[in-house]
Amino acid sequence: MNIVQTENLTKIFKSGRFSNNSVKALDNLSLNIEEKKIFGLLGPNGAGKTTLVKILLGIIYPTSGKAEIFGKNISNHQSRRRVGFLPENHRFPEYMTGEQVLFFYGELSGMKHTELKKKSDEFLSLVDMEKWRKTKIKKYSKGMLQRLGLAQAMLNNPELIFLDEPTDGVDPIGRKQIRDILVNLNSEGKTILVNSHLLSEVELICDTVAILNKGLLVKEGTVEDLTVTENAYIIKTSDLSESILNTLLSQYKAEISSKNDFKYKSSSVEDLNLLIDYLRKEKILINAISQEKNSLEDLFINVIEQEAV
Amino acid sequence: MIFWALTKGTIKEALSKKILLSVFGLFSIIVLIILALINLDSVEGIPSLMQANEEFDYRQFIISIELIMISQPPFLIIMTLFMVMVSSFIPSMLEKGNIEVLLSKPVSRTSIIISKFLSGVIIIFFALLYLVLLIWVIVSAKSGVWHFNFLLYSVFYYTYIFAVLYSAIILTGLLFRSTILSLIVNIMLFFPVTAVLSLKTEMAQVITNKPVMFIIDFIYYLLPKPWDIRAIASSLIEGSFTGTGGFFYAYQPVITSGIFMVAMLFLSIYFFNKKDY
Repeated sequence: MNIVQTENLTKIFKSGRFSNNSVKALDNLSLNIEEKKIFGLLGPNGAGKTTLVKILLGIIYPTSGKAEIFGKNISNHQSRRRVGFLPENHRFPEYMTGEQVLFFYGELSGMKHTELKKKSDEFLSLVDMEKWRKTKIKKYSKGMLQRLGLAQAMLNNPELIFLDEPTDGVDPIGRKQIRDILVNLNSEGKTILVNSHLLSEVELICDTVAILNKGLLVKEGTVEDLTVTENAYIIKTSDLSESILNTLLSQYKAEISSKNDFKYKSSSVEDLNLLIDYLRKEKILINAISQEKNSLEDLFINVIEQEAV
Repeated sequence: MIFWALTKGTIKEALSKKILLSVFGLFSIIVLIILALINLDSVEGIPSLMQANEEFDYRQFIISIELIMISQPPFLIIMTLFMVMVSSFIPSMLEKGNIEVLLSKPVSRTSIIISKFLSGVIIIFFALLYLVLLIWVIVSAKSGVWHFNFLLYSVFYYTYIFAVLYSAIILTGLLFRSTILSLIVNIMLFFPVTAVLSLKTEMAQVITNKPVMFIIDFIYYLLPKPWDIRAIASSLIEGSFTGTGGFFYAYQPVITSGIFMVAMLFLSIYFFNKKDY
């Protein structure tokens, strides 16, 4: 079931009231996000990622098109009742303590006082901020603010959580903790939309990703499907003789990595099987055959470069 | 629940900026010093010096003392301080990183503006209640004259004047997103613009040019009338309010200022609902 649906969503920003200059931040974007998935939204700066999140949360209005959360039109503010949000560079009221911030936003989400007390204890402890709960947030570091922001986004037990650069300013140990929290939330059935520049992190936690560029959806799919290189195989074998290596290079155009490891690009499965027949005929033991995988970063750069061409 | 959360947030913000506490402290000290220096005893105090005059009215004298404490110069200072206190409420709410979290909550934009307005008015109501109650209790206890109308009318009308001015502060805060700019515009509106316009009757005797007078009239009715409302409150406290010319004529400044306030709030809600953040 799709928890978020957009249909031909377009947003045009005009640079001034009396100016004709305009920027198309989103261009007829149609996107579905399935429930109980961790969805990564990728794209270079100005791709329209934050615009999309802000439209879905009713912070900005679309120029045209339709968007729904939980089957409710986003213009209905009740559609945000089961939603959590951590914006990039958030600024909570500095005169509040960490605990007061959670109470303030929790009450705005319609939570009762007793429930709030319980949940704020639970989430402050989860993000390792328990001992700073009574400290004014103007004394918090960037990483502490980010942890508090994450607790705020999870507080009302949302079914859908939007996170814009969730690990921004957090140290490597903190990043790992945040990743674990997100994976844990997902295992509890929450749907999470992560907007991040840290592709290695997205690759670690996301099931599905979408790449936006100049407001257009240029690629969408599971991380597994998108990172696999079709018809390219990594073959691990027992030690290969000089003559076999030469044959692999000349006849099969293989890319030799070592004496027992090479990459083969085949145009079909039949070609791959012919190569296996040849190796077996030469009494070579095949230890493993796997499809070659790109990193998400490689995929991202390829896609954006192709778009630029 | 949501309204109460927004109201509590605004009250916390007001308290955190320490202006509210400074206003309380400053006025408490000033009022206490003045009242400590004035001897209101009818036998030994200032009134005894005036009792030679057969028409001297002790009760009226005490009322005028109370009125002096909230007369034009204190009125100007009190309202300006209150305006300073609330002028940052909207620009700070609109700060990048703050407004996004607020709007992502299941709260309508209309209710955010209404609760910001009402919470500001509630804060100022209690601030005024404290100040006026302080004057009233001390003067009344010292003199034995308990004039309840002073408490009633001054708190009610001054809160009303503040509410009218605050509605304009909300709109300018939304438009400019700047505390300083919003404050300058509204202090200019309060003093000197509306203060000068309150002298419209006197101006009419000097200005003979009809189109100019028409423009002055137009601006006068368009803008709020804090000084005229203050004058109505004073005459109601004194008991000298005649209400000649019928209800609408007598209360015209209150009614037209109320229309101004509603228009400002309507425009604020409209603008806030239309805008991308």
